[in-house]
Amino acid sequence: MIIQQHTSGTIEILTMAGRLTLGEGCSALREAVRQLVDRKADLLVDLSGVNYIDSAGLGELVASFNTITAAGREMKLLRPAKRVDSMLHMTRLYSTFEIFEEEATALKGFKAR
Amino acid sequence: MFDVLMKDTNTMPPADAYRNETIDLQQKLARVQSLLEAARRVHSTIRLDEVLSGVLEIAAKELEADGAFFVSVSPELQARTSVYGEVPDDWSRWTEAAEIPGYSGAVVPGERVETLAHLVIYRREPLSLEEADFLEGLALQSALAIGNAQHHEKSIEWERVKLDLDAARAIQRSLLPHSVPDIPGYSLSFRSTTCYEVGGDYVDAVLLPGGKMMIVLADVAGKGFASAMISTTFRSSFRAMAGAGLPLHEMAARMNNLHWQEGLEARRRYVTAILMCLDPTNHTVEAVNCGHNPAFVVSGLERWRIGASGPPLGMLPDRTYEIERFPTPEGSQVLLYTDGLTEVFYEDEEFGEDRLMALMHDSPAPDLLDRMWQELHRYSRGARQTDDMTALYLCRAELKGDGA
Repeated sequence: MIIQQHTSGTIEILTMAGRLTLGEGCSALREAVRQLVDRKADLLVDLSGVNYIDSAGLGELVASFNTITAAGREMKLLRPAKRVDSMLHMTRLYSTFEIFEEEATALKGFKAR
Repeated sequence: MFDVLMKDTNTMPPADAYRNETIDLQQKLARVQSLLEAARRVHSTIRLDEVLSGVLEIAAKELEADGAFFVSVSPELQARTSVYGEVPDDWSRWTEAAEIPGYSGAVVPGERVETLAHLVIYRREPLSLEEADFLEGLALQSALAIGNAQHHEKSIEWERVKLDLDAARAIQRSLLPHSVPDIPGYSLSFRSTTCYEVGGDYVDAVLLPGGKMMIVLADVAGKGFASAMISTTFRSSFRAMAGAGLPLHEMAARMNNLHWQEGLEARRRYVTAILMCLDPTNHTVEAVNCGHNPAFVVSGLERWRIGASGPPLGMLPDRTYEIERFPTPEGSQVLLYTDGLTEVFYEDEEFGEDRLMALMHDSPAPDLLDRMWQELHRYSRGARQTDDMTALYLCRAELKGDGA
């Protein structure tokens, strides 16, 4: 799992690539989210490079969403790859997240801080 | 020790070359003998505490040191050993680099690390070359003995864990329905295999007093022991609510909040589930899919899937779910399954929903689950199972006779 991070204003953009599964992928995301909450940032997760997600990975995405919204911030998803997209649909979590195809549109979707 | 080594051979006349050689051989023999004896004593036990204290005693006595101790990079190993004999109070500050006078150390190599510990002795006089060699040899022998003792401890611990897991597996098997409820005209079968000793899949069928049958098939996120624990609490709340007469969507909403309230770790172990209620008097089924793989329904020439109406249970608070109702005319079939079936892989290609549904013929087949398992085994070329696999199959018999 490769995570790259860059910032746009108060929004952190997390680009994930590889497998979001129990172990490496999940713990990398959890650690990134923990740091974001400390910095009081909003989060956009780019999932276009995530080629495999398991139930633990899905659980981690939702746990991140819960943590960030509980801290009064926003979390949105960008371009989920095919498998992530079908998991989000199957579990009806598609409506929980705001999902965007374009980074610029996604960034405009965040509340101004 | 080594009193035979202490003679000054330089003062001897050159004519005594033969004698020198003899003394040299005697010295070597004495060294080898004392090390062999030390090794025998070090390896005479497989108890770690005895190995550690035995090595220190040998080191201190054989080298006539005031005391001896281990300094280890492993806190667990350090906690198991204490100082033998008398050493200055600052002994624990000893490091290889510090070169404090009076201390001499030798590396105890580890199986996975270059240096597991140092065997250190304290003696005012510095060690001779032979004594340093002896300390080094003893440290190497102690590395082997420590490794053996640790393996022994691990195998005892593993036996205990295995017994625990066997007991957990027995309990989990006993929590599966002991017998399939008998409903005239209907046939219900299930099959469940875990990939570890215990699993996070759960299937149950409960006959209610009014004649209806409550059915559930659930999959806890993850696998193994932690998921099995969650599946047991899920079973308790399902069984407690099944007889309460709640509409299924309400039951799902309550189970969702109950699980959510269990806290962060439980939320990561959320549950995808299908709750189903068969009414055999008016031949209808109600089903609620909570973030689970779609159920398959085959009824005559019609085939459809029951998708999720809400997210998995325990992931998010205050969710709502919807009931799907459908009639079960003769020959109807319903298949519930966990993703362990659809996610059986051959190379990079998974078995998938379509292949699974295609195994259902237009008419009910009581051996469907056996065929399904055989087909999945064949598809994966017998590869080791990587997820728990559970399925439940409900069908209504077709009318037999003159084709009426």
